[in-house]
Amino acid sequence: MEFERRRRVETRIEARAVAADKDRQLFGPAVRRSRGPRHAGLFEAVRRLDAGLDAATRAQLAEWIRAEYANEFGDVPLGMFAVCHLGPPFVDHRLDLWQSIVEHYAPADTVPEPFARARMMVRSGAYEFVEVYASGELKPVLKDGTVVA
Amino acid sequence: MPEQHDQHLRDQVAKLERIVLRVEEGVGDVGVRVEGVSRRAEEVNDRLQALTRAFEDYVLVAARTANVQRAETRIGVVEGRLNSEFGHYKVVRNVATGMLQGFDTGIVSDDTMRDVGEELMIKTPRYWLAPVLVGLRAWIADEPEICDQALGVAFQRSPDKTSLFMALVLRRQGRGEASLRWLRHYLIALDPLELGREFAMVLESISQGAFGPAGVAMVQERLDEWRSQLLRDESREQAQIDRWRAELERHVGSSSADRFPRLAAISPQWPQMDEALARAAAHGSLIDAYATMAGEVHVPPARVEDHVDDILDQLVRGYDDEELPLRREHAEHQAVVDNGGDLDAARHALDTDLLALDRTHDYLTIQSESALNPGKLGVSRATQRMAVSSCHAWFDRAHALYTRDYRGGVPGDVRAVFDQTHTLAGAVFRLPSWTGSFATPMDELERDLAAHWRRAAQPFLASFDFPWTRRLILPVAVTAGLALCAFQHLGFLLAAVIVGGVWALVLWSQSQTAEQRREAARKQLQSAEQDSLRQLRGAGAEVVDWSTAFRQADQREQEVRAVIADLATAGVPTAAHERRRTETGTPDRSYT
Repeated sequence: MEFERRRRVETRIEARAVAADKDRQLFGPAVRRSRGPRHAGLFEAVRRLDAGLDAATRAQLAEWIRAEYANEFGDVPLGMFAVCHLGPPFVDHRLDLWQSIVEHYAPADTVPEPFARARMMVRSGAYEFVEVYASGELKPVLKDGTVVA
Repeated sequence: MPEQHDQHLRDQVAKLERIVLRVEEGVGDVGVRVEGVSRRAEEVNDRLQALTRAFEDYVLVAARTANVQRAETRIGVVEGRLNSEFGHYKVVRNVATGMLQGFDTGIVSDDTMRDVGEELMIKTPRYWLAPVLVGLRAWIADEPEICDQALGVAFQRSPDKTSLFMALVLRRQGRGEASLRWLRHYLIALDPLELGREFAMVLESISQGAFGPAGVAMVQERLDEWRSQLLRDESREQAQIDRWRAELERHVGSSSADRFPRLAAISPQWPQMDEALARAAAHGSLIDAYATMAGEVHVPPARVEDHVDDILDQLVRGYDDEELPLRREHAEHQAVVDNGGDLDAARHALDTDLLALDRTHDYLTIQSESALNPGKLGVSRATQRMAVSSCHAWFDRAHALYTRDYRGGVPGDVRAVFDQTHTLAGAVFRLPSWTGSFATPMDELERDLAAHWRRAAQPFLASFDFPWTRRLILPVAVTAGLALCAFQHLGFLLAAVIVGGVWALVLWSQSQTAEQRREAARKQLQSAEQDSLRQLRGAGAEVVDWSTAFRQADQREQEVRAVIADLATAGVPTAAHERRRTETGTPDRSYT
């Protein structure tokens, strides 16, 4: 009696586990993958984009970053917003990965949407950069590579 | 004759003038009365509004009082039903406690125990505790057959509770191995998606080391398995993150409008700034709440047995699942009474609270709730800490998202707006709206605002200028006419001189008065302008203060992350269990 009961319960749990596996196959991994930590190579590349490269090298670098995102995280952002190290009057800049444009901004300049909201996040100094997606989603990346999403 | 006509005409004109004057007086009188009437209409309107407000307040109070009364009546009804439907469960619970005490002291005869157990068995046909008591008595009296049958029945009624009860009883009798076997049954019988409230007690017993190292290892293994099984589902993880996010919202600070009154008055960005500062203040509050928890060294209870007894006590005294709907209804009405009849507040209180009374939860929720709502689940500080530790990943993510969101909401450009509403003078002079950004240097801003005031005040001041040209036309014409008449009669020259002189005197004094008025208005305007500039300067200083306050509060985010990282390693129970081994041998203390 007791034994039967126990077995029945166990099968139930297994059935649930199978269902959960199915869920995972459907939508689990994509979301997880897109949240994977950003590695030092990306940080380095994003920093180099800032440092006055010629157009061809910049385009090449932007393409490398795009490929890296597509392979590793499955989703490529429109661009990044980060603190600018050029010095005054510039405080921050926008990196457009698709047109490989770097645009530096002084405090009084207006930043186009959807980058404008990223500006205040970057200003806190807690993030390496903020990824801006076409959907308008902003994913700040902490200095240790963790993505806030 | 013509003189008579002239006289008559003059009389008529004089009469007409008098009539016109009277009409004018009449019109003036009507004007005064109309003004009086409109003033009274305004007064009546004000009183009507006050009355409406008072009436609305009254309706609200009356509705709430009615709600409270209704809820109180319902509480009585629900309590009555609980008593009549489940009152006998209470008897079983009392007997269970008494029976355990009887075993400990050994002064109750076996026959009495048998009679009581069997009687309860008949009286409570669906309750799991009754057959357990029969089994327990048989076990003590060494009647294996009856024991097996009784426990079989109990296991059918509630496999998890029976197993847990037996595991705990055997544990307190020092039968470690048998106790672990029941514990295994218990864990197998559980569905991690539908755990009852008593599972929190199991967490409690692990954190207190009630089942010894072998028990901990077994439970931990099972928990890890559940965890990875449940976490495969992204939506479940999201639900936990949302739960922690709600906890973070509780730490949001209050508005700081009294610290920055000038900024609050003139900046349209103030609501966002206030919100951002209040949200950043949560970091400090979180550190206060959780830093001590991370640093605490858990001292295991002097006797693990005390704790086993407590858990057993809770299990025995706890509500049965069947009672829960009524208990929930009871809680709903009680919340209405507690919130003074405010149904919305009661619903809100229940939404955050009912979770602990709800039927079943998945394992992850039990963990979160043990961490966030320990009092409601009846778990100790040590268990809470262990739960926080196993929830640290959700806590961390919820915290990072929370921080990201309020940081994104900080206004990039803080502006000051001065218009008719900012001072009384602004309203009097109908000051057109002026906007300036605090990003521009303060002296530039001040110059701009002063220039704006001057521009706006110019037409107002000009209206006080004495209109010499307009006012001179008539007197000059009359005097000139009289002077021309002087060619016919010299008397007219004298008249011209007198009329012109008097008129000139009158006009000159009028112009002096106008000049005085203009001067007074200018002074008023100047003081209003100074007032605006003072407000601007004050607000500018407050922007700087606010930025400092915000930066300081915001930077504590890193400390919170460090605390969460500490918590991740702090609550692991192994250390406590390694220090303490389960005692064996016959129990030497009484069941309370």
